[in-house]
Amino acid sequence: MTVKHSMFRPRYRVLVVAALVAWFAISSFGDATSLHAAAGPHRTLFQASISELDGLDPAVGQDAGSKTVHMAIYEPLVAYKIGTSEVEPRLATSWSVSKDGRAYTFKLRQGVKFQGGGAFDANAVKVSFDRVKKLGLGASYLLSEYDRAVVVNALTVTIYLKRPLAAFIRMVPGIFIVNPGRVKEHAADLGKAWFAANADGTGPYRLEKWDRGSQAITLVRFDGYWQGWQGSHFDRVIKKVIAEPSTQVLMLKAGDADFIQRYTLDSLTELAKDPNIQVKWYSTINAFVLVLANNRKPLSDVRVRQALAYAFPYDKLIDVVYEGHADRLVGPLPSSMPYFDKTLKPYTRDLVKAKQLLATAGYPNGGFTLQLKVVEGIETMITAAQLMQAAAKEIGITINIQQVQWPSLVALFQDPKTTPDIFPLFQFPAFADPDAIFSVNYDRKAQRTGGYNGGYFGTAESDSLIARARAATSDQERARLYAQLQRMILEDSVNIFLASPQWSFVARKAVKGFNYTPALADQFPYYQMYWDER
Amino acid sequence: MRSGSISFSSRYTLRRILTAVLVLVGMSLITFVLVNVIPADPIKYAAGPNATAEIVANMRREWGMDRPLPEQYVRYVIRLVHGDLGVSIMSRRAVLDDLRDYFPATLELAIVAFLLTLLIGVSLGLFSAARGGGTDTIVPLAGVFGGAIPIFWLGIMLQLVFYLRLGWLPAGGRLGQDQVDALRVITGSMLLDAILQRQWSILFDALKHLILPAVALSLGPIAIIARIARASAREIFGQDFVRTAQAKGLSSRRVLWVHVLKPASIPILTTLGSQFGYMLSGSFLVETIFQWPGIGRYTILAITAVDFPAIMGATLLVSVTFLTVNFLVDMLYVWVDPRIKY
Repeated sequence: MTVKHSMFRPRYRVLVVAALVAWFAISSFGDATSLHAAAGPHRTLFQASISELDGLDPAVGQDAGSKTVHMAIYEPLVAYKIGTSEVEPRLATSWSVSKDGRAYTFKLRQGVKFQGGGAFDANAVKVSFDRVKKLGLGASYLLSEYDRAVVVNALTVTIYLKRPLAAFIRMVPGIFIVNPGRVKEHAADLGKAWFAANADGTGPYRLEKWDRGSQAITLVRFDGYWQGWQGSHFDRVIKKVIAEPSTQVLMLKAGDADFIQRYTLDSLTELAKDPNIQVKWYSTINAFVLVLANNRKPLSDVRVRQALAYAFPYDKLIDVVYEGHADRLVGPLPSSMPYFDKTLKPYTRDLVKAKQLLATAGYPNGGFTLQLKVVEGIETMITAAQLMQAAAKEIGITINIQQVQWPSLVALFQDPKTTPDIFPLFQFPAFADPDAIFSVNYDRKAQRTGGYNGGYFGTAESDSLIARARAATSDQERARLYAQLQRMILEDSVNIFLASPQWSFVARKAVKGFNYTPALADQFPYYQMYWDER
Repeated sequence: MRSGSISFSSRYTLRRILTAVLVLVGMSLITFVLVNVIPADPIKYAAGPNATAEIVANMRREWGMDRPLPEQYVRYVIRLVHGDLGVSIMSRRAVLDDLRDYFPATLELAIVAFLLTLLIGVSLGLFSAARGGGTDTIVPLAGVFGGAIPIFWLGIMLQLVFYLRLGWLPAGGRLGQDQVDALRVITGSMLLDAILQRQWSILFDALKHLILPAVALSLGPIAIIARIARASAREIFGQDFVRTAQAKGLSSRRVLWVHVLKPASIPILTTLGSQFGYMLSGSFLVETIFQWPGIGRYTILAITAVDFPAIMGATLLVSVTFLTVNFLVDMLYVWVDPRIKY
């Protein structure tokens, strides 16, 4: 065997030396400083994002990632004022509403140019609104009451609705104005194919590159932008999908990412200690509920639903799952939503009351079993399900938990027969108006394929309240109707109202100009953001 | 039959091709049935909560999912024959374009990881078998450890050390962002594209991006191959013809590489083939940790979104890959052992 030794040893050494040399050669190519944050002025904003765009076309893609990009490239007539639920003029300079609430007249801004050439005018508004309506995809839900747009003159346009819709002005920020020239060039499909891969709007940034392979989208400043570039802004924005939370955190620490979107709560505690990093919490208009099957025994009995609501440990959920970073959800509306009724009293844990309610409903010791379906892999939902299971056990109700994929759950709750007895649901209203919660989750039209009313709640009275509040033109009237609706849904214990999770902005400390805008959940106003190391 | 030449009867080749076609038809049918028996609604899922019934109906029509299932399958197969894999619900573009974007990334990573496995795994195994004694206990032991390290943990540790602490290597992706913009896509392999365009800094950047994922991907297979190679070489070492060769006074190197390696290589080849097949179907974990935009991640995302066209396309691609690798391995058998005939 000694013969064999001699043959390997020198060769082995050569290999080791070669490997070491190669290692140093390669590693010396990128020393720590050049690999991480580059020196010089910080002109590029790097966003480590969650998911690939749903669609570049603002009439199609409706996820937060797509909308962030739409917001950079395109502009609406009116937009949410950053940090508030108020709308302010953008491409329109002012607007007025007719007495019957059906006609919205917008005066338009002069001197606004499209990135691909051509001036913005009333025709661009008409073409863009018509296009969204005709395509009938993504954003078209915002135009369900849209009748037509009439060009009054080059800088005035009137939008007519089929029925009055009070929330309409808060929906207009979701309709982006595209270059009508492009729609004309690609008239056959209304530019559907073209706008899926290209972009042409009036916004501060234009599309430089969308690299699907590396899941990165690069935007560069549009020099002709009407608001100009005098202040502090980023010249370039890169939004790149980084799927793994730990990688996002590492990149933020190293300074390769300016802000990140995916992290665990544990990592935030550690990040908050880093002097170069900011972690800021904001209250949202999002609601986290347990949907109950109101259409089927035993949950069709309001007393059984209330019993569950009295059994749930709300404080534990907020402490354990959210480490305090959630607000208690009192009723169907989060407290940051306009028209939230401050006089409502939330359900609190009271097992004695829960047992009494069960007894009056004819279940003195519980004794029945409920099926709970929860989306696989979403920890907050799973923990909430487990808390519900443990609480129900204390009042004699057995809950079986089954984890399913989200598309499967969606299929199940589209059928009143297969909808689970209980399922956790996040409600993300698409605009800052109660209608975005009620129409999607509590209206009978939102049952089956229509929306997310998977608990099959709804009476003629509740539908009528939703419709009247939708159409009412006076603020007082809307407040009154929404108060009535909130009280009804809460007293009826339609769902179990758990929490309104807070949202965190996790960024390098020098990233300034961000403020959370409730209606723009998970969206980022690139143009308002800037770099300041002081 | 002469040693070293590869020859197949044409009947055999024909049989292989026919089997492959049957396997693919079977795969497509099974996948189609499976994704359709799951009670899930990808269209409603993709449409989101705000979509009205009308929007959902429009989208269902757009993807042809308003048709009866048998009709959907027949339409799918007809399109498939024309090289059309349909449109992905997730990405809203042709599945073929998606696969064309994602597969080269997996292919490049798989080839590099495979070469690492081949070189390190086989050398370690043979080295261990040849040396015997104390050294020979190291490989099996290291093999057990190497095979037992969770790939996820390994990946994160590699990032922590080489990216965050030392700053030597990037955390993930295939190229630095500025380099991505500078490189024109020709083959889809960053290494090849960089060489073709004589972009040497990009080549180094691509290499740097490849190291960590390739190491994470190949560690398990290296451990397996080293153990197989060792076991198989030890068996050969004990045989008479090796002793004869040694007695003839041939150099140990020649004995090892000529007389031992070839007969020992059938089990090694079999395992290498299946490992390469798995690498080519994309490792979801490695691709996720290192932002590697490959087919594994694409498939998992497609599955969670119940994106029928994408799942079908990815499954077919993986099937074709496995069939091809198996065929290559079978060809190599003949080359290694001329007694094998097809």
